Amino acid sequence: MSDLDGRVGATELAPPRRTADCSSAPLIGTQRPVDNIGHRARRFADGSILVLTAAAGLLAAFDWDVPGRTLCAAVLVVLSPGWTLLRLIRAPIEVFTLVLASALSIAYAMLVTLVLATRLGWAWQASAVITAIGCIVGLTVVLLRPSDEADARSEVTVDAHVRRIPQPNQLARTAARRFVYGAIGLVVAVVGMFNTDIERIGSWGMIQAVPPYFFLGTASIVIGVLDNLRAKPRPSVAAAWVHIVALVVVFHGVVSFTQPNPRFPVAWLHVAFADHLANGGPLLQSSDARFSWPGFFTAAGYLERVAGTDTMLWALALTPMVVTVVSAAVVYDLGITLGLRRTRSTLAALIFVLTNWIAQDYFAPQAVAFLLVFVIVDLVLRNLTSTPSAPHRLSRWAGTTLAPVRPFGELGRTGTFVVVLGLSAALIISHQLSPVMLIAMLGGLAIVQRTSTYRLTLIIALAFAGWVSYAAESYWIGHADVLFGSVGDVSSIVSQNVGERSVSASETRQLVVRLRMLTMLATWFVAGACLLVLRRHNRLDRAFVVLLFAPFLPLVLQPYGGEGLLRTALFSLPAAAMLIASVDLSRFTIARPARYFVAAGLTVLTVSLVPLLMTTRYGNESYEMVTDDDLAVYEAMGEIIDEHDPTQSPPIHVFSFSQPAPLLIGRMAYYPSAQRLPRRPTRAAEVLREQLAATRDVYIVIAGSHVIEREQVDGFAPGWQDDYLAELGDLVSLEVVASTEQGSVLRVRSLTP
Amino acid sequence: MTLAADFNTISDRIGVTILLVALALLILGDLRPARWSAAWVQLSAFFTAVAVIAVRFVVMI
Repeated sequence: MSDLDGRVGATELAPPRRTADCSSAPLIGTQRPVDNIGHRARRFADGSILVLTAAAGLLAAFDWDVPGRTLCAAVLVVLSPGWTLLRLIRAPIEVFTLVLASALSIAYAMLVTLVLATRLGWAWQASAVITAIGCIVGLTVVLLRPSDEADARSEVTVDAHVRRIPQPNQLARTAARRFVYGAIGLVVAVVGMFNTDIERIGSWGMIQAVPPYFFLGTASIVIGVLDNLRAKPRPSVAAAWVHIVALVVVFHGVVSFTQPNPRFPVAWLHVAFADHLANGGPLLQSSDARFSWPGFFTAAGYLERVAGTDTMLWALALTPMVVTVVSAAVVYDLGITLGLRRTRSTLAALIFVLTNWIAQDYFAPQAVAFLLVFVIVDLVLRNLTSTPSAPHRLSRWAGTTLAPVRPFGELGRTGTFVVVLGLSAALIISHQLSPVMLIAMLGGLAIVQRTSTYRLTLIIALAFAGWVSYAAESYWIGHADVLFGSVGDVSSIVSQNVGERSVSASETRQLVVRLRMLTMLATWFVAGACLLVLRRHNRLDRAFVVLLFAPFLPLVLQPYGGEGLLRTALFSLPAAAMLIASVDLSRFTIARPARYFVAAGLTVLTVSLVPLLMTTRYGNESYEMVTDDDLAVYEAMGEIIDEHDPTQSPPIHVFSFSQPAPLLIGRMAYYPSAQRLPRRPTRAAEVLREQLAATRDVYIVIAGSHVIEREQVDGFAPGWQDDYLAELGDLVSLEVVASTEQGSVLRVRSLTP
Repeated sequence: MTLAADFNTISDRIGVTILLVALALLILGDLRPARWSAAWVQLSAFFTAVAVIAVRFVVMI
């Protein structure tokens, strides 16, 4: 990226000390915090959280349903405990404080609710009230205590002689300049959202439904980000961030807000898990491996109860937006930790947002786990950093350490250890793959002497192995050969992750999958080239090398059902984005006209990433959206299940072409008996006969999105389900008990037609 | 309702207790090095934890 800060150099690493920009405006004679908000704003933030927490505790205690309870509950569960802890130890209020507070709160919720679910009879109400009281007491102490030296130290001030105050007309001009692209883009994109026609979604996915001028709107917002970052004499990081948030909202909003129901059946299934636990249900470890890492689901069930809602479906549309913005904020702070200027870090956040097609930010454990991993890495790099006077050979080869040390708050080594172990514990109980990523990253950072502790890696690795061996045994008992048989078998891993992902798919889907691969490879290639450039100029922080390559280690160990490459791409993306953002291309273009062409070309490239992302990210929308017709089919099947005698075991067996996730909300007892129908009718008939011999009631649910999924993923011809059912009907007796425009519910009547 | 290992058997309880003690020793080795970072303490803690996990895997497989 060229000339973002108006300076030329091999890299855009920040100077050791931050200085303020001078402008032509008159001087002001007071001091003002740069990174932190002021005293009044701090008190306002503390007070607001205190009030919302108290309200959440009160509403949970009496289980009152009032408007706004969901917001209060969200504050109590995902912000308040961590915020209280950090404010008690006088942490400054900066972006990372907010992110760390959320991570700590979520970790607290996961750990506490796991104990509630397994040992304490799911006493969510008592837990919510006790947590709220603790937060109220803590925040009251924070508000009542006098401001002291630590608070004063937490404020980075600007010297009076460089601080200038703008004139009113200057302010208006500046504001208009800062937000003109964003405002225009937002209006155009919102109009585009209103004119999005989901009926037009086809094999290319969401991009077919969105009007073309929507992308003019997103282009204007992206240009607004770049314009604010390269504005002279003062770039505005805050204005750029307003644009990034707007971009995320319209990009994900055009998908979430235009569809009649929350999208993605897997997210519905996670809602079903959370709802099952929220109602005091047991962990179904023998039915699904995810119950061996139940932290996310118990915490989500807890939030459902505290919010007083029937399900967590309300969170599905918001989750991708919130997770993307918070992830981008983590990338931003990590970039600053690794020595990037704030403008460069913001650019890295933008690149992360525009290249993250991996779509692991939905309502799922891995979304939270991703945040936890990078919050831990950032905190360790800030507070447990190492600056060896004589680094060993491997460290020197991997790069150097240029970033100034920026310790977070007053945590110290002990406090950091405790916080990291707490976050890691929550990670270990919540997701099976992310702890391996964390271990690889922390281990790599310790090996290249970028952090000062190797024991932390060992402790987390042992704790993870301990959890797998004692608490998640149902995940691996009987599957040890599957889990460990692929170690080092690179050809099998590549085959599962690359070749088999689209081998039998429709032509369009194969193109979409190839576009994804191409995006991933291009990102890695550019990041690798930037890494080499930085290394050549001896400006490469060795943490970049570790963060870029460590996520490949788990891929070598385990293909993860063909999804290992996706996780590797996701976890290496922050480092790739930071590397791309850190190189200043203006060094290579000397002539002024050429610089303009390069800048224009890069702007066009950045702008065009949005439609590309819409294709790669939401290319499966034809079968990943949940239509009204699908829900009507599930409702018909649900009525049959609900009317049935629950004392039968198993009462009803349900077959479908894909997992009927929405059907399972509130009916998790049927989860073990909901199975996929085999692809071949003859095999399907055999399975149906076996089930019919075991239980009286066997049904087949056919949803429209399942039919399209088979067409897209397995390359079946359009209308294949009619041939399939005709052939199946020749082998077993089928009766249509309910039907909609695109789906139906069939009952298997007898063994013979 | 419990996790997979219900920790009701004596061997489970002993294994988990040893594992937690070993992890605590490793943590203390970093936070209170003056008292707990002796090589024999740290190596013993590490290999004990590894042994407990390995035995568990071998037994269950």
